[in-house]
Amino acid sequence: MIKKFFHAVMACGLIALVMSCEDQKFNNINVDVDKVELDHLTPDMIKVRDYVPEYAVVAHRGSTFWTPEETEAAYRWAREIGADYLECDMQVSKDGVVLALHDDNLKRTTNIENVFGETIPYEIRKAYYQKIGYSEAEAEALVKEDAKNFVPNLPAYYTYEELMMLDAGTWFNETSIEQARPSFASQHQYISTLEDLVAYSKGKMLERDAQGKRVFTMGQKTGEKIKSLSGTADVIKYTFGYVDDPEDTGNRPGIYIEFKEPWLNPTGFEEMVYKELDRLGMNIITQPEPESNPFYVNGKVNTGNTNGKVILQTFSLESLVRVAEHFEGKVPMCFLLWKGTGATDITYDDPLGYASFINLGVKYKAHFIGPCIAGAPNNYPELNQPWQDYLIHKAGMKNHPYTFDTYDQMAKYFGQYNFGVEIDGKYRAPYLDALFTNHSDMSINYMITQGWRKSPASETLVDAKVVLERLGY
Amino acid sequence: MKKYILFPVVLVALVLSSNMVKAQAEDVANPLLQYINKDKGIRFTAGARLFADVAYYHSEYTPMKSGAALTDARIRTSLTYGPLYFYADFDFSKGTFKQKNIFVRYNFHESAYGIHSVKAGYFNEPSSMSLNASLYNYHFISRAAPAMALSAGRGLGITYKYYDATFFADQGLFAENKYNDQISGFQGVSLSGRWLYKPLNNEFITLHVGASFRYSRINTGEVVNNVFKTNVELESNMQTYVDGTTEFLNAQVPWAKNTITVGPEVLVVTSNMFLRGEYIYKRLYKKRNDEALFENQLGGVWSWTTLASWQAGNPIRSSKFQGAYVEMGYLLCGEGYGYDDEYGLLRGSNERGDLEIVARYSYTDLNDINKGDFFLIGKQVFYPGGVVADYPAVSTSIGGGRLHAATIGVNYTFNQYVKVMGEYQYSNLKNVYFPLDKNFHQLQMRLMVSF
Repeated sequence: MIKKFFHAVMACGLIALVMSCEDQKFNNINVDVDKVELDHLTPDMIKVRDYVPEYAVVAHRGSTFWTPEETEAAYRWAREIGADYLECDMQVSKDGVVLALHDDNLKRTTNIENVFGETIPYEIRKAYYQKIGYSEAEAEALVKEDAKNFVPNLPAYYTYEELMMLDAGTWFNETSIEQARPSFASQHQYISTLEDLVAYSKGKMLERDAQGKRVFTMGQKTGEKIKSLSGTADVIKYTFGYVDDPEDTGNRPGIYIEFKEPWLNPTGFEEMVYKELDRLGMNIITQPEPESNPFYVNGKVNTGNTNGKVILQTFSLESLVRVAEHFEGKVPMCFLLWKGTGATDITYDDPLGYASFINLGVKYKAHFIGPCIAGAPNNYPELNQPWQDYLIHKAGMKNHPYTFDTYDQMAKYFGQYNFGVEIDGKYRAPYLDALFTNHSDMSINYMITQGWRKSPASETLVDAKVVLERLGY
Repeated sequence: MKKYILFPVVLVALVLSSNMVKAQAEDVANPLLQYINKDKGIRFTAGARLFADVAYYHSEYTPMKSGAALTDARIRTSLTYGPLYFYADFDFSKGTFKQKNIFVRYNFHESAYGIHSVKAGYFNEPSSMSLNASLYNYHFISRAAPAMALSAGRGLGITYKYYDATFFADQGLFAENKYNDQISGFQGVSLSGRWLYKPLNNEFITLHVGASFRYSRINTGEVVNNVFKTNVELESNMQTYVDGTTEFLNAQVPWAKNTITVGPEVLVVTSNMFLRGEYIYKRLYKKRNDEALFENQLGGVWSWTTLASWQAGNPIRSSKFQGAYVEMGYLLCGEGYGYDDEYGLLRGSNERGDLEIVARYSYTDLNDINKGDFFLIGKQVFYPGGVVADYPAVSTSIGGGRLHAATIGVNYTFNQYVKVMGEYQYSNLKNVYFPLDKNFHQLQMRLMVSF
């Protein structure tokens, strides 16, 4: 009997030997990336994905390095430097104007503390209400109601008329001493609107009066309301003046617009943007471009005349879902990733966690993943390692990392610093398909010199300061 | 020399009472090292035991660490002095000292009405059949996962026990923390009991049916931002000790305040076969200081503005978990299985040449997930109703994992002091934190020495 028992033990040992053929003794990312379950873009989604040119240069907020961000100066410069996309963040004023504005607090990029302080601009607001059609008594009551709910410095609590009183240029000269230019202060830089951004992308600039103030008219209240953080308000139609930019050299970049978190914006914000794009002729669902339109014509950017002229983007999980509902994956869409513990952040960036966010993107009809990259000066968390780029592509998506500031970053993610080494031949440089950059000039120059940007795109190296001077800054 | 060592212990025993030599909780009936003085009714034992395990694991994604380990290394001592019985043992396996049992028991006179005893100290609460059996005599390398996850182990307390040929009743009162070293709060308390009825109990067969019940009041916790917070962790290993990880079956239950555990059980044993099983249900009721938590978050533009809105965004409910196991064995050769009336348990196979085959199925469900909830592993967050939002209401779901495990094994007894065991186990896991870890295979063997 003992003999039989030991035979049984031997049998168990043999089974163990067979089972030991497995390859994983510890969690190895290079193995795990092929084990995680990934969803894949459908052929229809891939078609929309390919509306966007390879290695597109996205001018992050126009430029945060050379110019005050998201202003006329920033976007004109980005267009003339040859960026493929002008990037902005979207918020909404109290009266329904879609803004191109990043911060949810106006203190950093405007002089609001000197203009309005921390109180509601009482008389200005009262006059505004009268201008849009309320009696004096009604205007008085409305301002009092606004004052009760007022939170200073948040864009959603100010009308666009009030926001136009803020100077969005001078702060830059005070914080970026070496890039400061007197004209950023003397030529009033306004908080931009989405309409402004579209105009800049089409070779326009603001129409200004003799005093240098932008030309616009305000409509009357129509009964259409908007509900946001600041309460319910009338939607007011502004008519802005634009003129042909004499310094326009023919680049027609697209726009890359970000839905900020829904709690900052009005209910139905995504639908509002859908309609605004329609009004501005930028909604390819209702007004598609001929599919034969090229991305470049005679060395000039032509993305703005293709079906890739608008790319949507968001960090927000909620916006991701809502954009999918309204745009149905028919407009290129990027799901941005940030590592952290915040409401919209990826917290666990191992292959399982990373794949779960990619799958969320696929499920809610995003075509691109936009991961943050490491490196000075921002020192963002790293979410664009080669295996992460691999997972993005394995799902059929493309990779739009952010934000490039240095040559080192360009060289790292384009694979120049790999010296030809690629793990198992699996991870192939470049680890990106387009890029957000604060230095479009540096990024374009790098891509030209390294052979990533070829004809019919421009192969001419440009100097950022020369462009600024040509534009009058 | 022995008398000098025994003296202080005997003194303690004398203070408590007198009477007869009866019963022991040792793994083996006749420890090698013992001193017996029949005239004075004294019996002293000292012993030790050692478990050496070797295991090989195969998992699909998250590796388990195959290898060998000293999973149990204890020294123990006992003293019987008349009706008093003192027992203590300590574990040194894995290089750390762990307090195991230390208690005193007083046995009342044996009579036609059965045997009564009172026990005080640190020992197993009278709850699960599985946890109350000595691992040396358990017939499987590990206890069943549902018992480890859901039943109470040792506690500092006092019990009263009665048993005879037909009934068994063991119940008592226990404290929450044996060293009173909780971060904040005073100790909680638990009431535990196990009651059995034996409709058949003779030399050929024993059948017992019964149930355990435990109520516990949790009072220990920690203070965070001036809010007192309790937490209960339910966990089990994968029915193995070489890699004793509890990450696959692990439920954190915040704000738990009162818990109820119910466990019906059955055991049938004949000379060459046994079958036993338990079902364990646990419910945890919670208590939270909503007002304080609400007030703590006030003061910003993004604050919840009313208590009702805060509560809607941070709902709370009781949690429930369950598990069950069935274990069976067949003695291929040996003198026969036995039943221990004193503990209401199957005896170990301690006769030379005992060879048995055993099988177990266990089911442990630490998932208490609301229907429709979506789990995003990149954030490790549940989204109620499957609605993906930036600030979803906090889900009340708990994903502790659900494990089905089937085990077969062979055990051989060289003599009462030395045994070997071998097992194969297949496990199926469903745990949202380990979505790619579904199937586990494990082979393990154990050498047990106790003397």
